[in-house]
Amino acid sequence: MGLDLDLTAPDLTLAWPQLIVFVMTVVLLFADAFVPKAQHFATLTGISLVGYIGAAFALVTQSGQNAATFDGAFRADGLTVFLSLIILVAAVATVVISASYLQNGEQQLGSDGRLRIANSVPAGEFYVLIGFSVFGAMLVAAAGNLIVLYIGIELSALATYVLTAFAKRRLTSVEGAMKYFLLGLFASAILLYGMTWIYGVTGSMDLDRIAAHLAGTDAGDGFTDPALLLGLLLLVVGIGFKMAAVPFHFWTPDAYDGAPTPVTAFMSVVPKAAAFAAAIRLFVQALEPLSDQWTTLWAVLALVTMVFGNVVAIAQRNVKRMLAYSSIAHTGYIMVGLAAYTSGGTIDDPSISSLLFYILAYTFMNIGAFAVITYLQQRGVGMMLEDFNGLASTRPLIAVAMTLFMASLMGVPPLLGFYAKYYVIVAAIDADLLWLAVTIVVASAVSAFFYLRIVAVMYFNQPDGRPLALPTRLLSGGIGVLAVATLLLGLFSSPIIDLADQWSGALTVLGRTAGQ
Amino acid sequence: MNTQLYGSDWVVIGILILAAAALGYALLTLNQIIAPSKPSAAKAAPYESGVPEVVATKPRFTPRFYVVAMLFVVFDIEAIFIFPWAVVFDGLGLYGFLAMLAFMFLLFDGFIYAWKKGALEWA
Repeated sequence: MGLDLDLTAPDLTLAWPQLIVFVMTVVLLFADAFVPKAQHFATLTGISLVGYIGAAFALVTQSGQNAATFDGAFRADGLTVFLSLIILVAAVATVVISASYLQNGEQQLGSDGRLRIANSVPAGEFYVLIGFSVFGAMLVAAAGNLIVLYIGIELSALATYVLTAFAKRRLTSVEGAMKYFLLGLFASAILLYGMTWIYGVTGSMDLDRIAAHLAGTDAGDGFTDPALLLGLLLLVVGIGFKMAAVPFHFWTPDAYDGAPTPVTAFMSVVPKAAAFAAAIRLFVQALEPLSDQWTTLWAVLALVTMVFGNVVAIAQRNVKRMLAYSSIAHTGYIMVGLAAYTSGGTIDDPSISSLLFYILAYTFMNIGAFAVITYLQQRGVGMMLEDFNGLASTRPLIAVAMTLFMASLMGVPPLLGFYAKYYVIVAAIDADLLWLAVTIVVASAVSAFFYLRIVAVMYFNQPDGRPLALPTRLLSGGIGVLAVATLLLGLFSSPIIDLADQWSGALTVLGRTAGQ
Repeated sequence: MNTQLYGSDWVVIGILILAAAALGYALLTLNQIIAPSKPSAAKAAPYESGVPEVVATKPRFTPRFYVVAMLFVVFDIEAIFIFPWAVVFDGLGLYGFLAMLAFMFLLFDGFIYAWKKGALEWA
């Protein structure tokens, strides 16, 4: 057997944004080892911000492109651009809001009434792990191949497991990380098993080739190969774990509650965005011919997730736990976009655009909410409902920002969250899923109770006179920017939706077959 | 699409899952019913046919062990990848050479990081 190796250099210009993030992370690693301790924090924060923002600019130049390299394993199309932008926005926001946490650590109120540092966090490792997680998530968004997709998910998740356990002296942090780690591994194994079934049936790892194979054999009617359905089911379960859908959500409250708050903000967005990226790549791009099967699965899961997340959140008095269940509920809303997919993948199909827009909106408001908790945690414990008592009189601007985030998560017009829900509901109605649209509305009404409770506590209760430490300017500025974005981005949503509409570029193979 | 066929698609999966569950439960239950239960001290020991433990099974050992183990992985993986690369070196051309240089740089990067962080100091 002769060695048949054709190694051609890939078109690396397509991968610039991802490469920038990767190189930045390597530079961070060196900077962590060589920069003297005094300039540590400023240098590392600077490198991170420059890297992520540079990568975002590199991405914007790729807008409108539709190309693939590395033998089709890496794709630079509209979907890559939009999802990577979401991930980079989340990364920048996380770096900004984690600044005061990294400088001050977790503070606890001592018995003498003074704040002392309970958990100091090594800034270097923190930024490096965030960098690898962001790189992994961007790789998922750009994956054109099952293996690349899986590696991206794992890279993103492994870094997040470590970050969850970063407050290593606090038991809840270690406990949350352990549960997240074990269930995450379990989910990865299921996902991989599903991929082997899909590979076994279609004989290809390439997403486009899988789609072409299925479109050729199945033609949408008649009896579907049960092996294919089993693979589909396993993929749904694996991805469902990663995106924290009910009934695969058990790790979520403990992990979110235990992780340091900036990490919670990060892991409530980036791994979720990666999971949805994987879902779009796997189901819409590769398994599109089976869309009648998987839309039903996602519709049912979306319903259960929305109802469960919102109802359980009512009972929480710990705000971080409450936001964990709220994030489960939002997973449900986002999943409606996936369920509303109608086969064909034309530009008019609003489902995937609405899903993408929802993740972007969720990024701003959810990281904002966790940023406010980070801000409050400086005064001691800071994540119970009582810690918000009378915030409006002691820190009026922060209280206004928190009110905006809560109202946006609830879906009050004209905030960003309202537009996100609006687009998803329109997509659901377009796909004749009226029952899902109604569920979104009812679930949002239920969610008003626990979101407004925080607002009520801030404005109507008396402050309890606990000491307030001064947070860094970076954190306050970050909360301000996120609040303004939550307030205004919804009003200017149409260019964002236009950008999100470019996702259909991912469906090149099917577009060709449909055009014949 | 045909709803009847649509239903039957998933029935096969359902039957598979039910069959797998039923088989598992059946074997366990059968074991409970049929197997005679005669516990003895020797059977209850952790290793029925092995040497009983002499010292406590949870000794403390230094975390440096893990650091060295990780450093070993760095070089081990490097060697594993370099061997096949070296075999086909001629066919790979300049791009193959540069790709391996990038790969080795990244591993080396991890090594420098570990070194600088004090992983090799035994004091």
